[in-house]
Amino acid sequence: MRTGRGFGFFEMMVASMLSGLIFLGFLVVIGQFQKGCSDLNLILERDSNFWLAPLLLSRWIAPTGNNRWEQPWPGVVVQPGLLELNSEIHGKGGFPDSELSSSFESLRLRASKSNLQVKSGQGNFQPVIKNIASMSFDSEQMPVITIRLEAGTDRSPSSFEGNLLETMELSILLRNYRPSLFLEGT
Amino acid sequence: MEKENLGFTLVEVLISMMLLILTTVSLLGSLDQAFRHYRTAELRWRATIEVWNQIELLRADTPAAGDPLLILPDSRPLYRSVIRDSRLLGQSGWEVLIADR
Repeated sequence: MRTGRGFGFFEMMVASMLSGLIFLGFLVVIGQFQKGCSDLNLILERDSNFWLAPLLLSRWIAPTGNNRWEQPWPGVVVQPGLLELNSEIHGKGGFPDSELSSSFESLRLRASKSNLQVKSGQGNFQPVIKNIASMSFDSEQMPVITIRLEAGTDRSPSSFEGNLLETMELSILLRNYRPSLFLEGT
Repeated sequence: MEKENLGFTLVEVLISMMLLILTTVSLLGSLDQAFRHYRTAELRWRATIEVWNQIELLRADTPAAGDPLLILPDSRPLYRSVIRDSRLLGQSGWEVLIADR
């Protein structure tokens, strides 16, 4: 009597086909999941950089734009896509020395190549925050300056429609102090 | 000859399916919670920016607005304003003190 050991050809074919289908389905699901995670990571990266921007901008701009009363240099210069701030904050002895030599006494801000770039003093523009697509400034309500930021992802996420640009408006009050800090101008 | 028992019984399959479903539902629930928290954080960030902008405009206004406070006799009065936003959960409001110029 013939004993049935192992599997027949037909059984092997069916089992191979089913295994292939299951493996293919697994790969498709993993691929989609990986793509979704990658896109989500792009958005999280954009948001984390974007959410940091107001903190850093308010920290840099407010002191540099305050002390500009009767100074020989322009305090706040707004150009398309570029903000220039000059302020005498302190010198070597701790008091103003009539020079814009200390860090963050002369500041320029712009957005270039999807980066928020900062130039302090005589240095070059340095990228400080990623994913900032554009930046514009409005000084119509001086002494309040309004900064409009637009942030985007590094590449277009394939799982989402649209360009996924986020926008924000930040207002910063630039008081106009004299160097002595006693009287305030307009 | 006793027949060899290959494969799983119905009970084993049902228990495995139940565990798989529970795990999947738990993972999806956690993901949903994570997205909800992220959305809340985003709303609060936006609300904070808007409140900040309101405060900066308030501080720039001349004359100063708000409830007058006289801390010392014959001193310049301070003006107090409180800005609230329902999106900033758990916060009683931002208090702004502005000196008259």
